[in-house]
Amino acid sequence: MKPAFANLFWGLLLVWVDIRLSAFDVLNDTVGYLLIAYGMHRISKPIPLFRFGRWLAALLAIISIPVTFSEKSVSLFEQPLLLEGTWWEIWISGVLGEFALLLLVYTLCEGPSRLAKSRGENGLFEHMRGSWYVYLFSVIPLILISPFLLNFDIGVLPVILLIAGGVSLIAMLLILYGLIRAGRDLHRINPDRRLDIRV
Amino acid sequence: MILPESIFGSRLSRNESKGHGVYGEKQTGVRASGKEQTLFQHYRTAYWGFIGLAVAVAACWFFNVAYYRESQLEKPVFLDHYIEAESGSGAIFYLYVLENRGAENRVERIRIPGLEEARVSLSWCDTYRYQELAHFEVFLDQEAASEIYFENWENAEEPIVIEQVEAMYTDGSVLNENIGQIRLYPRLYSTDKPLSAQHTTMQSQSGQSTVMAREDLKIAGVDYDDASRLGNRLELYWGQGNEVGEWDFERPEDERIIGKPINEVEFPIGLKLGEDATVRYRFQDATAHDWTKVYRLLPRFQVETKQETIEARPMVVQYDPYPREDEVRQFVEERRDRP
Repeated sequence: MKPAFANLFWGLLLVWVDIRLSAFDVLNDTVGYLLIAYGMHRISKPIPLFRFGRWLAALLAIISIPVTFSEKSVSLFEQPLLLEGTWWEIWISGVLGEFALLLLVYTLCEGPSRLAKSRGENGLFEHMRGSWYVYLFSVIPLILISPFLLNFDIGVLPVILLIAGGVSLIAMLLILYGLIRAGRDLHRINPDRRLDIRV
Repeated sequence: MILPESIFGSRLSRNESKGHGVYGEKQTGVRASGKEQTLFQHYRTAYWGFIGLAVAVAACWFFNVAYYRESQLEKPVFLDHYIEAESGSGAIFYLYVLENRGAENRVERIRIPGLEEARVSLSWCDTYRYQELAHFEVFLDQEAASEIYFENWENAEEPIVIEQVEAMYTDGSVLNENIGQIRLYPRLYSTDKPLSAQHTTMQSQSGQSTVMAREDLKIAGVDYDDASRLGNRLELYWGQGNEVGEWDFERPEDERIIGKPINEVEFPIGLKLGEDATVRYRFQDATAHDWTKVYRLLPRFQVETKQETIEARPMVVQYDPYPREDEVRQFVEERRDRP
């Protein structure tokens, strides 16, 4: 279990941290998503939710390819995409990408927390549950309010987003720590044996 | 197939529901209630929660991106200029370009064909929500105009009219753009002007000049070109000596001391050497589109001296556009609606 959770940890770290040299993302998101998909695949038997999660990660890996190999911005918050991007690019690279990432983080929290609960690891369960809610309630304002910054000057919006951004950063750190902890606390489980037989 | 239940949690398998895990280890009350505990109260909460959130996010982005795009110009727009300048007079005027903020095809440089020596530089930009109004300053020094166009300027009567400029864009493209008109007049007097401006004060859409007689003369009238196009937009006032008070167009209560409307003045008016008169002007924007028509006029004074009757252009009447946010937005919308 531990190597698989290590894959998830490093994959998520690559996705969340951006270090760019010129236009190239050194900490490549595509690699990060593939690492997450691989990690999920390795423990998809004890955590069936990860069977869904790995495809989600694979989808995000595909969506993130243009960011890696194109100098053209695919960030929703930068003008070239909004001005010149097709609606397809905006919806696929932007909105779908943002939303799929939220779902992926949910699976990353939900999967280990279910397993932790079934194994009586209440501490880990509570940690993942708490981290998820902190993340969810900080990200919802970000993804709902952000688009309005394009068109409206409402003084309180940037303040809300600043606070939400700070809280989501804390949530990310908590989730990353939760994955390390999951690798440690759940290491006795055989990743090749099915714990949850539902499909 | 992955069902929502398998994603968000659901009923228990038979083995698990008996209080033992598949390995037979003792369960810890996780499923005492008969359903698996997930991060949400129930899988349906998560299922519908995510669907609702997806719809809300998509709606927010769709609305805002559509609204944003509706607020963008397809390309930079040169305003409609009507600029009069005298060659060789060191004239400064501005060309205005409305362009999208942060766009890749912004006007970088302007070249005025045939007037290459004119110094054109980006002076500043007024910033709006989606656009910027760039002010390109054009400086005509002696070399820029007189020597090129008016080698025989003493005999020239008609102005040179320039209607297009060459715009170089930041994306590398070069296009000829219509700008309205730059009317370049030959300088009427190189020295010894019988009538000259002494003090000039200007705001963006109003100003005044005090003109002084260099010799005994009569002013038979004051007029300006393109009066029909301007309509009632330009108001000119005339005052002499104590007839006019301190200049302040911003205070309506002081209308009485602005001076007399120029069409009510009884010309000719005699000015002796050293006497002066004050001409005031202001532009009144009547419609939301008026700001798109930019003026720099040289009113013509019909001057009668002892020797001759001449036209003098001693003062500048200038309109600088300062549109409001809603006026810019309306303009952009109308430009986009054009077929």
